[in-house]
Amino acid sequence: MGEEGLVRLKIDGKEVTVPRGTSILEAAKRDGIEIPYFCYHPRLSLVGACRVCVVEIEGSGKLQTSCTTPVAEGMIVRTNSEKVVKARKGVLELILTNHPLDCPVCDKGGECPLQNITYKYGPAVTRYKEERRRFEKPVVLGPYILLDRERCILCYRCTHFCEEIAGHHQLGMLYIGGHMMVGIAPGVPFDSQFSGNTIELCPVGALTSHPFRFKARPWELKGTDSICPHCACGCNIILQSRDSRVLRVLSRENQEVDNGWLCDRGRFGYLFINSSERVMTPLIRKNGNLVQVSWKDALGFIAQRIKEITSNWGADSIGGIASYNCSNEDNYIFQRFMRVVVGTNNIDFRLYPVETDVVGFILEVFSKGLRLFSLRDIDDAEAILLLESDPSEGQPITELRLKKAARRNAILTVVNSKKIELSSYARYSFADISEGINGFIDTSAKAKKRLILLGEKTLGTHNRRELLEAIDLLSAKDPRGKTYIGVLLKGVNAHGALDMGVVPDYLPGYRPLSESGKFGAGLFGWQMLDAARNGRLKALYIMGADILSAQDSDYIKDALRHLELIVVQDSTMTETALRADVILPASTFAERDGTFTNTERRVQRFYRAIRPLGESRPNWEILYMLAKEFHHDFNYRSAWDVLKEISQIVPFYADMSRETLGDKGRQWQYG
Amino acid sequence: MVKELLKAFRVTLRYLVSKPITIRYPEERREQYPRTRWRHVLRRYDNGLERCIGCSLCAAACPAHCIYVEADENREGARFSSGERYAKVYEINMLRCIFCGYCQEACPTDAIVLQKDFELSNYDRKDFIYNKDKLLVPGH
Repeated sequence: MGEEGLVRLKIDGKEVTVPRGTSILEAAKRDGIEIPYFCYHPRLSLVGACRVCVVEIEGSGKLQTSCTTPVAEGMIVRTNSEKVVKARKGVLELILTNHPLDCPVCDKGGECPLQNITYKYGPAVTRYKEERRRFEKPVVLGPYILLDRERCILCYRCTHFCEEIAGHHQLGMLYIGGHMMVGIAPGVPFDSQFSGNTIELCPVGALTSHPFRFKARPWELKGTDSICPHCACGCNIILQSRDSRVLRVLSRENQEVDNGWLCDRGRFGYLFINSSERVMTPLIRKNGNLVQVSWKDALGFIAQRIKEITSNWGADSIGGIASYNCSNEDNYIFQRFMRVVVGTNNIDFRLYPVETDVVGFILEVFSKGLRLFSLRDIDDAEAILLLESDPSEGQPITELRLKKAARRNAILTVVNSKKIELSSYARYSFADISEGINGFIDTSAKAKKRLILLGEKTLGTHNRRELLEAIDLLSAKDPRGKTYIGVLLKGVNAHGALDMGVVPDYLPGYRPLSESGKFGAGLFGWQMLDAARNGRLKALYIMGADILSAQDSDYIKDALRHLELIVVQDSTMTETALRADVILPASTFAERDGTFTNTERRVQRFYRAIRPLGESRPNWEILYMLAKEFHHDFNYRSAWDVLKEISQIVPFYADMSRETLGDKGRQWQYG
Repeated sequence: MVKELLKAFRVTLRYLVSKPITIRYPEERREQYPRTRWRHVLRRYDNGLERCIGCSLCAAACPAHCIYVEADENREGARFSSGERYAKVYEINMLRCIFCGYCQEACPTDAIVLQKDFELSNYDRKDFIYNKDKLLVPGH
């Protein structure tokens, strides 16, 4: 007998030792022995529907499906015996009788498991002489998903994904026998926000992407490692492009972050990159109209106007609004530009009224001995508290992890004033924050690992003191340090923007303003708008933020009307940009290098996939050029140079560089 | 030596009186071998629909990378080929093409074929990018 819990068996004459309960397929895979399969998927439950993974087990009369057969001590498995080869060929031939030979027009062609496996194991020619079955196609399942019934091999991967992972029971198998099909209930479209994953799961071209339909063949696409810029999850993606056009987004599995899943916003949100709304050249408002100008003229104009305004009303009459959509490098340079070149601390990226010391609050929370959570902690936490945060809206992939945790009976406590999707998974639900906190403290007392996820709203509420007391209580009752805490902020790089010091009251790395010795705290975002209305603020420099998309846009519109100069640096013609005096074309994340810091403070790098469109430039480069107009040489040659400087200035980002981040990124604790 | 000279002049004399091998191109044209491969055309079916389905296999097979295809979907009122997919853009860079015929071999619908038109001169380099208008045989 082998070691405790280990099983030894022979596959194709090779001695393999794997943990008890492993399937033959997984054991073989682990040892590099290839067994073909369609319906098996490591992250979904087993079906045994496709029968193509059959193997011969000595002593067992019939062939067995290796995906559903667990290993046993002393088992002798053959994956290539004559019997297996023949059976596999037969299974493939049978699958192919109902599969059209339309590979040349199929979007899966070139990356299709059925194509590859048939090429390797299947029959070379078909003996099927009858008319092939024909169906109306494509069937529109949802906004992004099209179904080609002829191609479907009924492997159940998509329906299992919907049931087990997404928790949206929208796809199902309809009818029986030869009429069986993947389908939706009448009038209920497949509009789950995770629908796009079924495209990648489908082992044939049955479920295909609507936006990518017939756009290109897979082998024509160039893949670039990137990070999804749509929320703070920071899912890893591959941008696939052809000729300066991003044509699709695939997931790039990172166990620490996304588990290989993507939400539809991440998968189909790339369409803005090549949209016609992009700003292609610098624009200046002349006699009320926006006119194309050269970079030199635009930068010269901005520099001259800023100098005029500072000499007339002082540097503090200028405000800067950056964005959580911008990378760490952009945000770092932005605050450096505002602080060093312009000479003001009026820097922010938030427009809602924030209680003055949000950063201080976050730092205080983390100074209490609780540890910063990582997304992986959701997987083994026994009690989870969601405090005024709704991952379904803000961070869909975190929602998937939480659903998984709830399914394995973790105690999920949802505290929210309204009903959220995760409420139906919660063991306890509270509407009131203090009740919820007390409830969680009581119910999680026995939990070996506790996790608290704070929503953005809690940071500014009057419950703040109460929250701190609760955290005190939790850390006092937690001598083993098994309570983790996370702050779920809105926006892809909100944590990064905070770290980079895009706040009026802290320098990069949360160093106090006194360290610079120069100025007092500046104005917060909403204070800047107030100051604009009463005439104290004369100019606003906005980078990457569409501030008019905020709730109170009439108020903001009015504030903008009072300003002497509005500079907007953005990639698309937003409402805000339309009111600007100067618009500078910024490149999107697909056209540049950089890093984002995600919700668990994992810094991840992304790379340039296509050339900057039009005359657009990366945000950091625009500010670098503008600083030159003020005779400040920032001396960066690339985004990585900026990152290097950040690592020198921000203490807890020390030794961060393009190399040390690696493919999976690195998580950085506070302090 | 004289003998050798006479021998050589005999050859010259013989060709002087025999029918010349060269022809007076372009007034005269020689018949081409059946398998000569020159300018491509995109063919149609008898019903006038394009054979090309925009599958890009020609571009994948092309060793000179001179073919560029962009596909699109046939829509109601705008049907170009018989299936769901057709080539919206089909371009061949004739300056790069080496006339190997691999595209023809790769084509699953026999849409692209190399034919016998070899007079491909132009005044502008840009005119060597043959697009669908140039390649497609005229429809009905």
